[in-house]
Amino acid sequence: MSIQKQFNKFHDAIKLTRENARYKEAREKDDSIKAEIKAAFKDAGYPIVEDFIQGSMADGVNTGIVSIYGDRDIDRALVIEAEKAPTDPLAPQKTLRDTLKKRGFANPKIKKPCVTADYVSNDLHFDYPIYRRDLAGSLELAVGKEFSTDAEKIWDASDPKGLISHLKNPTGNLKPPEKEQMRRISRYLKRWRDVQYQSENERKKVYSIGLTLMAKDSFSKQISEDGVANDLLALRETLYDIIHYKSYFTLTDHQKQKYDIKVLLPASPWRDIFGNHGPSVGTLLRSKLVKLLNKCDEALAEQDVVKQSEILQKQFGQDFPIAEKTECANKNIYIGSGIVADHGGA
Amino acid sequence: MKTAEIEHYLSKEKHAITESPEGTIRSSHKIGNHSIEIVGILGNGFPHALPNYYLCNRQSFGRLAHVGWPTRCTLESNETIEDLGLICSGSSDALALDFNTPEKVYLAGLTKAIKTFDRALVDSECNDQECILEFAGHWNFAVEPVPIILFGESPNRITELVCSRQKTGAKHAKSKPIALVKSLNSHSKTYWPRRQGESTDRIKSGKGLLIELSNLPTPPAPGESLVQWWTNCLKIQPTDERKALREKARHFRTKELWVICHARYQDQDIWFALIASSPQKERTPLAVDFLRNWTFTARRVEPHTKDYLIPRGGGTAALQDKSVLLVGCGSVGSIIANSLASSGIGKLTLSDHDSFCLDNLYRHSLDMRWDGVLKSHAIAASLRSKFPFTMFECFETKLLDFTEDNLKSFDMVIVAIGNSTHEFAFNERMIENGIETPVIYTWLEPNGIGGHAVLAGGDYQNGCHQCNFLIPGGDGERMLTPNLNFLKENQKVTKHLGSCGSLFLPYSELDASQTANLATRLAVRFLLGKTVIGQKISWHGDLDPEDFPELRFSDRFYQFESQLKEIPIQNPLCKLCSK
Repeated sequence: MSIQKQFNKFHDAIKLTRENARYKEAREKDDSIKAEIKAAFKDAGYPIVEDFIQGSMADGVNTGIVSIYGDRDIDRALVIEAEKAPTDPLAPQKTLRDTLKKRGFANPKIKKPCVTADYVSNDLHFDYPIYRRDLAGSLELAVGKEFSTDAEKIWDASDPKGLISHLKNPTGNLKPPEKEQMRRISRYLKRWRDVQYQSENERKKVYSIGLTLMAKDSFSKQISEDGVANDLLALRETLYDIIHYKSYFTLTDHQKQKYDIKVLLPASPWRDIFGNHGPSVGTLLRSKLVKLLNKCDEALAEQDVVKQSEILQKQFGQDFPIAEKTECANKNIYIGSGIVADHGGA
Repeated sequence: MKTAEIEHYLSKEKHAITESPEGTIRSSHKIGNHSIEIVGILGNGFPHALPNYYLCNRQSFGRLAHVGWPTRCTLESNETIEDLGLICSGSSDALALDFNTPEKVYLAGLTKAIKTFDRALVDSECNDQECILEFAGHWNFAVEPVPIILFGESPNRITELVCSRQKTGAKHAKSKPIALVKSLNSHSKTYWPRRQGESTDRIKSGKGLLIELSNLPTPPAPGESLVQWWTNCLKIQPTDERKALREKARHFRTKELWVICHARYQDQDIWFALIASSPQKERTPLAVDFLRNWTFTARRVEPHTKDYLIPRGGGTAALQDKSVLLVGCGSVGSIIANSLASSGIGKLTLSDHDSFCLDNLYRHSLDMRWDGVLKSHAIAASLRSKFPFTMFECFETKLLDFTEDNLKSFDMVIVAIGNSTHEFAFNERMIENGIETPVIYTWLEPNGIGGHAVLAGGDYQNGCHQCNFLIPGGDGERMLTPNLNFLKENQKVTKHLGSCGSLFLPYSELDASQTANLATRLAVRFLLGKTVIGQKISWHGDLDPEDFPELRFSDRFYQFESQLKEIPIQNPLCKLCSK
């Protein structure tokens, strides 16, 4: 039994794909809501000309995980033409909020970057950022809350597609199996965050996009030429890079060992994802990451796969399975239907 | 460029130039105590080829290594220059010339020409040695144009030959005289008549002897008496060898004798032939006192021996004692058979139960004449006439039907059947029955995706073929197809151009030969002791998976970087070989 097998099982348990039944249900809901939103926007004089999923479930990003807290979210970007868009960025957000209200959502809110709404009964959470697109194809995000000052209500330059493109392959020419490993590492870290941050208030400050960017930009591929992945080593090396080589964490108070965290968006508006937080977020995250790194080293030094999986389960939670002791069979066993199509020739 | 410009350049470089006809340059040089003159004749090819450089007053230097005997050169202007010796400083083909600076080309060529013979000019011992080393070059001045082909090895110092030449007025194209070693086995004896295709046009031609000489004199000069030269040659042989030659001469009477001689000199093989004729049957001219009534003509020898032909063609005669079984004579197997034989393998046993079908004409090495013939027999027949030093044997036996004793009798088994089920079973059987014969399994994948070869066997300490069937990164569970494959298992890759009976795996002759090369190199390297058992090797097609949207590629396809490199196969989780 190898620890990679446990990682594979863990990954199967946490990964959220479009084929996942609960996500499908969310998408179906999203589709029906979308039709109503489109109609409302058309009536308002600024029809939606494009929409796409952004975030972890964006096409090609694929780092979504099944939440242990039961909620699932859909992050759908809505794009209107700049020529038809109202000057006030709040106007389309209000149209959206009203549509969602009519649809029966509990308390849809206009938050700073988007309109959010929850289907409480289904643990479904929707985010709808609204963009206007100029003739050159550049996007601007509608920013501002209902009671913001005029200065805070702006159409702000934004490049969600650039972000998606970066997340698809941040470190250049990764091969398909390496991209898969990179996605797995991102998912492991997101699940680790959910397990290690019991307090919701602390957890929600460790943004998924921040973790994903750090993981992907620091990713260290560990796959042999025969295609055998070593996720534990890849995770360890990636963590080491995040903590020691990259400049995400800056020591701001030497005596108290306080760290600031800074992770820049790799596309417009190029802002710091953690920019609105003080050093407590960085300090706590760094100390937890260091602990995870130490546990990875401990697991790597351990020979017994059962002990390895016990160490890792404490970090990743119950979905990380403890390996079973297997009896030694006399023959290498084939686990399949007993017949496959061969494609060798001579 | 005009000759004058080159002359001007040479003068600037402090070379003494004397007047000479247009298209030639005459320069003077001092080598030791010798003052020499060299004439360079530029020729039409210059400056894309080197000029010919000649030593003037050639006659006065006597035998001189790397310089031809005196000749007369006629220039384009019809002027002639007498007593020139061509300096043999190598072919222009092996040199890269800066033709934009002809003056520099000329000077570099001149310097090279002088360097070729300057040491021989001042050191007579060195000159003699060099002359012997270029024996064939000197000998060619004395010979008749048609060479004698010698076929077979010489087992003794003196070996009898069967000599034949073409009949006068023969129907077939002119063919060379042939001397066969008399003691050749029947397989090799059939080689020449088959090769010539006109055995009925040949007649026996006197007796022949192949003689190993321990010492060689310097080669004869033009016009030198061959009898006198041969007398000197006999005199410098060791006493016991002289006695042996004399003894042979006493009992071996004939009117015509072909004497083919071989000597090793400073790691060079030197061959020459003399045809000796006498008006009546005489004791053969192998002793100084038996030479009186004999006259000689000189001949060049084309040695068709294992030790010459195999290495000359890039093979190695060290493989002559190796016996290999090749199971599977399809497109890959047929190329392996050819490549193994050309590597110098002594015995090749071919087995395939299938007959050649013209469907595979464009990727198989066999041609249309073999339609419907058992592949193993057809390949053996076509290779026998090409590789005289390989014995071919044919079977129609399937891989799993070979007996233990049979398998143990080979130095290696190569499996090129493209059937992973049989290969897997065969590997199991080899280990369970303790058969240590090394085995190479080779197969390819469709559409130019790649090909593989695996070397297993011996005591299986370094892994077995089952190691190649374990799931990568798994706990010892196995797959039904090899984990070397660049395509994921269980997908339909066969095609058909007609009805359902016409299914085939799409690959080209290039794919087959690439795979065969892989397997043959692995085999040869192992048989020569250059690699050890327990290796796998793959070639990976340079293709874009997006061009094959219907196919699923394995992770190995994407990660693989060890193109054509040997990688150990051993997997400690293999229950079969790690018992």
